[in-house]
Amino acid sequence: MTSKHNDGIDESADKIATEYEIAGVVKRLLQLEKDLALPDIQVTDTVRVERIMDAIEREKF
Amino acid sequence: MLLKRLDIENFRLFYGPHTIDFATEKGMSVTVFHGENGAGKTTLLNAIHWCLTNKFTPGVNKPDVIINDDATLEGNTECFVELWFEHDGIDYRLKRGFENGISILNLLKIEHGNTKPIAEGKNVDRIIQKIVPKELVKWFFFDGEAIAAFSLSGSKNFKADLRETLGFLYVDKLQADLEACLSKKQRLVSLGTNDKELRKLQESIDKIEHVMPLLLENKSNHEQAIAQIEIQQRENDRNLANQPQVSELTKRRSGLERAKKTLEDNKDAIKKNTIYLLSHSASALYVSKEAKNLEKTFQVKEVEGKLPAPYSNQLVADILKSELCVCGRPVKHGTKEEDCINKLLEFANTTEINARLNEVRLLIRNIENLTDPFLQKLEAYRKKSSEIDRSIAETVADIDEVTQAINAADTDEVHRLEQERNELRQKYSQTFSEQRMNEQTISSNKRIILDLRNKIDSVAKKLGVNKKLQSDISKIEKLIDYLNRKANEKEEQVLRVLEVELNNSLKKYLTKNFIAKIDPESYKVSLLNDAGGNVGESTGEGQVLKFAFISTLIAIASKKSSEKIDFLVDPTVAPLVLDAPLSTLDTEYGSSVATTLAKNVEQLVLMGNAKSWDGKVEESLSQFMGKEYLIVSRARGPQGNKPNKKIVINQKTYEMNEYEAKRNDSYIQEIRLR
Repeated sequence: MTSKHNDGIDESADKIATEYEIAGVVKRLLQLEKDLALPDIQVTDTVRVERIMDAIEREKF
Repeated sequence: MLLKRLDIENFRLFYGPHTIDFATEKGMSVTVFHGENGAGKTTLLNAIHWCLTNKFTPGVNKPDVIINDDATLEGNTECFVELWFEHDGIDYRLKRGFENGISILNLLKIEHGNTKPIAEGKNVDRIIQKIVPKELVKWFFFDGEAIAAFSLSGSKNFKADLRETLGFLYVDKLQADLEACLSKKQRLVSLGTNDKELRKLQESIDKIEHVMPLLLENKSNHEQAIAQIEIQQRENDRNLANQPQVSELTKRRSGLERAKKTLEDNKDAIKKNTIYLLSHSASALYVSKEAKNLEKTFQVKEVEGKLPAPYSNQLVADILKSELCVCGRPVKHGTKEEDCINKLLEFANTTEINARLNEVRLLIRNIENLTDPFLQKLEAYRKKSSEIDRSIAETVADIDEVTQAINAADTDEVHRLEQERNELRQKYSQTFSEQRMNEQTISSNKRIILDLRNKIDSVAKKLGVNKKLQSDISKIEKLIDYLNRKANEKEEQVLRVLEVELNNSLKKYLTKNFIAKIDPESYKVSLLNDAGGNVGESTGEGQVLKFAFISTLIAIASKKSSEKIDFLVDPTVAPLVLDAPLSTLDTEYGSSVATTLAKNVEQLVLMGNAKSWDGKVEESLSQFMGKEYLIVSRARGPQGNKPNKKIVINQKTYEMNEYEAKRNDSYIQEIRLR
């Protein structure tokens, strides 16, 4: 693994993979924000922050 | 969404039931309503707006009144608006009723001529939000009477509205929520240890965070107060303009005030350009100054022989003449020293020194060539800024002069309105300065919190606190970093696309080669002429820019832009309903705006008065028009001296108002098309 990382190519591939994962998480969090803003749901600010925090804790990246 | 029909009953100006069928045929989907001011055009627009959102458009008259006054007097406690529309091939009926002070919403689906209830209450809101997102309603159903007051000036409200429309609403929310998550987690870190330094840092954050909600509430209150004062100022302007004695003077003063605003905007733009130029040319200007000093040093030290190597002719001649070496040793005639110095002449080389000096001069010229344009530009900005200052001073003097003339008018009402105007101005300026101070405190607090959090982070790392907590914090930080980066990139892209599309739209509306520019910081939209000068918002072209802007936003919302934008708001296709759009425009632009709008939107509903309905507009719109209505206003009392307003449609004259009616209300009459 270490030798692979030394050539710099796999390291940047790792970075892209992480960026890709983060992009996925952000997309899901934005969808959660949208859902929580729907007229029939609408939660308080405190509950919304808690729901976002729970979602982040569940995500692995 | 395609509007098909509107049923209203006892809604505001309209007593009893009324039905309107909208034009829906492709290519002929324009519906026009004619009506005098106060006849009910804005009420019709608001009937649709209220049905969709349970709210009226901003600045609407008597927003508390929903049920028609006469109907109320007769004991009616309810009214309704029902909107028939098609969306994605399905027909719907959206009905908002108002009963005993409560708004009730129902959505029915029409299948094979039968209606089937599909949702009620908040569930309907959820479906409607998908069809026309609330962020876009204000653009699709636009109160054009307010277009003169609608400003693309980059105010905080305008920026916030536009950000919401462009899809940043949830990004902004998520950014704020992630910050709150980070704050909560860091708090747990500090509380989870017994470290005194950590606890102290956290206490400082807690103290600031304790006052932040109040500061943010103040911010929102200030914004609302300013918006409210602006509405009152416009009302005051209108009332003053309606006073016959000072009508012309008031209009002149309003024109001067708009001119002053344009000048101030131009000055702001120059200030920004100067700061930008200075920040980009500071290093070049410094190098230029230093290079000039270097040239001087060379001149003095080498040419005048103050540097000993390589020896210059002048240096040797000076030593022999003064009989004193640069080291202080005497060089007397006939001595060994004089002999040595004379020998130096063989090596002395002024030509070489001059060659070196010329190289340095060339370098300095090159630097000057690079920096001169900066200096010239700075000088041009300084001159322009002084010119603007003079123009502002002249305009202020003119405003004062007109104000004195207005105050000289001999009517109590004018005096009262002028006093009200002064009070509103004072209130505005006080609220504005309070808002600025509040905002400075907010941003300073945010900086302090950020700084304290960084300190907590570094202390916590040293102490090695709970790994799970550290991992959560690191995750949130990564998300914040990613979101901030992407939001900036996205904002840049969206504004660029908006600018390109806006300029494409403008080409269709205007014959002149004007260019629209959007300031990436304030979102202010400016119109520039060929020479790069700012064309004021109050000019004919400035008004056209607003229509071009609205139709561009709508085109982008329906994903019709040349470049694909990954929108967070779902793509929306809805009719454009404009109340009184043409009355604010110069006649030369009326027909071009109407035609371009008709061509560019799926369905167009235009409302206007007799003044804006000239032959040209009628001729250019007739090919797209599928339905045409006249809103006739009725008054209970006798006509007296009041005028009978008329409108000519299809070469036929129609009366726009009736007197000695049973009640004060309006009714809608369909006009047969040619």
